Amino acid sequence: MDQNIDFELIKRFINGDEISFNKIIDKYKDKIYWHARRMTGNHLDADEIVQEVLFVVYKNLKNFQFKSSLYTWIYKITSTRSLNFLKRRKIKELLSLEEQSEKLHKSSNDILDNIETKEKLEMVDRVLQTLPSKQREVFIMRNYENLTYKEIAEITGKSVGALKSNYFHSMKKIIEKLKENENR
Amino acid sequence: MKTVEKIYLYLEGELTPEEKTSFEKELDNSPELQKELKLYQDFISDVKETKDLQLRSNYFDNVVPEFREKLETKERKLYYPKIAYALPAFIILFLVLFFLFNTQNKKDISNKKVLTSNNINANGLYEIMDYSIDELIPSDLSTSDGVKYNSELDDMIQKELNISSDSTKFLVADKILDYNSIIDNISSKDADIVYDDILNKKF
Repeated sequence: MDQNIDFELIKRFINGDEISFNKIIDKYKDKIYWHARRMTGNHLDADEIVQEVLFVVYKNLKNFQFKSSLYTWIYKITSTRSLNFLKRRKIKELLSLEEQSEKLHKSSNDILDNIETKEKLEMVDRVLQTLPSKQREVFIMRNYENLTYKEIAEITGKSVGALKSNYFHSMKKIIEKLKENENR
Repeated sequence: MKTVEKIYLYLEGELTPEEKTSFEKELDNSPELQKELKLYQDFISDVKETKDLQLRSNYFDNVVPEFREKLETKERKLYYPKIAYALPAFIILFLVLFFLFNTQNKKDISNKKVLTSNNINANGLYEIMDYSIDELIPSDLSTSDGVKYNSELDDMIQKELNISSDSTKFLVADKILDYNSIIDNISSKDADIVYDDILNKKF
């Protein structure tokens, strides 16, 4: 049912109805933002990814094949864009020799309302940011989006075995990091 | 099997009933295992708490308008380079055409350079005369005055060939070459021969 509505909106957009695109984005913008936010650990980077994803969706929606759900398709774009963004950010950090993520992190959580949840989010972000990006991605998809390995495999194009291995390593690193924090 | 592996399989529900019972027994007797499991479970519960956060500002309300604005700017940026590339291309094309046209003109002018007694020799003069005769069109030939050279050219010819003014009338390129009278005086038999020659000539 939900998929039919999405497909109808896509068809309308292809026929020139720009409002349909706005409706599609209104439906998925939260998911795009939060995935990007959890991957990057800050609002400013997440916002940049959101705008990038919207541009890619807008330009490529005309070529949508109607084979997968729109959610999977948009999530795939978001995942790829987030990973690419992190690669670029790593290069920038290496070149500028400064911890940009830390700097951005402090200034960007201000758009959150609750101070308690803000602190919790910062703590979670700090741990997640120590994970390699692909392990972080699987962890986010499993725990925030509650996706099955099969669904993650469809989005990332990886095998279920590889994803399980990534998730196991992410868990191992998180436990190590938490023990390290406790011993400080 | 390492502790973390056991925790992973336990939380993922991948242990057999027997393995699960064995793990839970081990958990009861191992403070280290309890600690690691608790640390991870607490972290997951923090993760769940940060799952449905609300942003303070009207950020999500501005996502689409901001995108529309950026899209417009991007499309404008994509349009301007087209003009930016087209303009130099047009200038280069114009310069190339101008250069080609100019070279052609210079060539023509150099062929028809102004003759003076100082810059011409006998061979040059013959070349110019041949060129000038080739350039004549039938309407020039049919004029009653025929082909005329100006007095300066007459002087140059006399000076270069060292001949008197009377002798210039014996030159091949005579002052007056009346083609009309030649055609009028030719017999019909000679005209047929000339006509056949022209027809049989392979150009």
